[in-house]
Amino acid sequence: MTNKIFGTALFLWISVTSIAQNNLPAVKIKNLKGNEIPFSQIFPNNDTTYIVSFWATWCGPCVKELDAFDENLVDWQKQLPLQLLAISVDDSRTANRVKSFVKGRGWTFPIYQDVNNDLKRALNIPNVPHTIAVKNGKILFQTDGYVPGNEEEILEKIKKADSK
Amino acid sequence: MRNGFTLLCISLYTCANLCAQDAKKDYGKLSGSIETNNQLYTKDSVTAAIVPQDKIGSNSFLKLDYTYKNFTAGVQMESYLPILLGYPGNMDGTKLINKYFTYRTKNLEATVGDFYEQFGNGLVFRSFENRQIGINNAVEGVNIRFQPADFVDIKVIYGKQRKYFDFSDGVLRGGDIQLNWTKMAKKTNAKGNFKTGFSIVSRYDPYTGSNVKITPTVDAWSAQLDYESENFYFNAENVHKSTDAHFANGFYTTKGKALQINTGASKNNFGANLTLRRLENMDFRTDRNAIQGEYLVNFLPALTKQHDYALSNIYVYNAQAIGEIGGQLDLQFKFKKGSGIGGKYGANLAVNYSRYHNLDITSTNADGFTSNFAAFGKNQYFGDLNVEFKKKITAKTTATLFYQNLYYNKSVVEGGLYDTVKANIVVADFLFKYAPKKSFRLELQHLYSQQDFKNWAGVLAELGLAPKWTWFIQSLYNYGNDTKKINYYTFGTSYTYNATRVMLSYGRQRAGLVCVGGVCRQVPANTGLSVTMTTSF
Repeated sequence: MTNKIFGTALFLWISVTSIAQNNLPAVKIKNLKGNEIPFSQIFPNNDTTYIVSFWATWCGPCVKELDAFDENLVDWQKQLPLQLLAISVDDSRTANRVKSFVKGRGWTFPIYQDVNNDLKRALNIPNVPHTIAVKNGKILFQTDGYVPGNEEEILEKIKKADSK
Repeated sequence: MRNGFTLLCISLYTCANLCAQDAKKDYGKLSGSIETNNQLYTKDSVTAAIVPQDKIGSNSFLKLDYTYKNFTAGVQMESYLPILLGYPGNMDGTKLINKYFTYRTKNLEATVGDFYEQFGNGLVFRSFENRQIGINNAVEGVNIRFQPADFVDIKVIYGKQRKYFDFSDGVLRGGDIQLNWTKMAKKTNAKGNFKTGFSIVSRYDPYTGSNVKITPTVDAWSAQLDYESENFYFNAENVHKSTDAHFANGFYTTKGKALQINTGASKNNFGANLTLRRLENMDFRTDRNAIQGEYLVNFLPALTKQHDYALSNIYVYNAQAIGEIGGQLDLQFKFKKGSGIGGKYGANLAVNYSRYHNLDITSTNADGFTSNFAAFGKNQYFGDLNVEFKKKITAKTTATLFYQNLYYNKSVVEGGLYDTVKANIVVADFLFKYAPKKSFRLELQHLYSQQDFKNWAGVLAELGLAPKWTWFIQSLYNYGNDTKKINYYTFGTSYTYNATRVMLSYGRQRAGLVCVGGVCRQVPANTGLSVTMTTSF
């Protein structure tokens, strides 16, 4: 019975992945001034590609990924219209450390907080780090986890999507 | 059960195909995730690892959400065939357990079904899911979030709470209101936001017994004060809880109290955060007979740094709901490129200190205890001073040095009679990015201690071939152990393709605690092959 259930689930998954659309949920997240903003409204510019990185202060690979993005961002922005946004999924245990963490690392890109993980759930993100690329209100692609060098791959994918 | 699931699949599949037939029409959006964690257990005489009867454990989750205009409906199916070792044992088989329906507009969000919600810092109420520890205390009922004006946020909850595959007899009802005074005064150019908030949660758990200490209704309320700007913030939350004699607090009838203060200041390249918290009799459950992580209404996490090095995760603090006082200081510095310490590429320094004690108790009796409010008791529960320095040394090499001094009152945190553990941990972590998408990481760790399992040495080597592959081998060698020197080795690989990740590993897992939000799961020693797959769509 179990095999049947999971067989059906797998079939369903393969069927829907090919047709799933990419509308952005209007779930609210907080900026560092404490204002709530629907996720779908944090992308003001058309034709700009937004790299949205889901991270947490306790997640080593997440911090490595954001450091890598931060290091390359200025160079990349010379090549194409690009913006980096980071959404912390730290819960009440570590959420209070986020602001000092961000400032202390010298990150200047916009940071948002998803303290009870409403957005993480709505986007069905399994783990952090998890990165999605958004352009004109659509998710172009997403990647799970971080291996050093992923940032190069992400840039290549954005360039490829831009040239289409 | 099976018919229900098949029907669901057919309807979703039909809908999915309708979407595909005419992409221009809005037939909504189907999204979801699958997660499956499986382990094949093998015998291991060295660690005395337990092999369960079935020799296999498997926890799997399927989540599906369908959104059409302002409506979202979703389900979560969970499968424990059988449950992995160390997880709460009451779940067995497959069940479509969470179901919800949400209507969302700009100012209103209404959910009927299973929902997750949090008031304030979670000290009076938080429902959440943490699959790693096996907690899902979603509330099944009604959740409304309403914003009648841009300066007012109102939340209402009503329902029964989930425990494993069941729901509580007791009912939770509550509300939360947040007022943004800066927005109310229409100071649009203000540097920050000044807010106040009030939350109340009431639990009704019917009781017909004769114990006069027990009250069916327990109320908890909290007042919050909050100022947040880019470079400075301060928030405080003060909580009171009515008398609540129940199993987990030893049937104490004294009222509960909590105070949490958090403040921080930052400038570019520097950030400081200070958190102080006092808890007294704050264990709060929907069911008065609940144990461990069951039916938790509030969330009381250990406010300490959450480490990611393996040897720093042997002695992890767990908040003491019955009473604790302490705090955490966190400092972050960035040394710019070209500065003396920063060198050619820049460097980061992080300093963190946390310390927790018992309350300063003045008298004790069968109903509970009295204590001085602002004083620390003499019994230290936990202390952690840690410093982390990260520097990119060359264009291809980054080094991280980490030191930690630890004080761990094992008797209090784990229960029982043990020596208090004092430990020093050092870690050197090197990342060599030898090609744009190829990297090698070497982590060397050592834990020095004269107590408990004494000294440990650890090494981790990891090869990363971005974006798809990582290969790793890790050895945590407890060579200081007087009774048995054990090498806890693990090796494995992970493969990522877009939003899908598959991990395969084989190795030994030591017995230990995994703690989240004041709740711990005791994982027994085990050895075996582990296969995990996650995907989202």
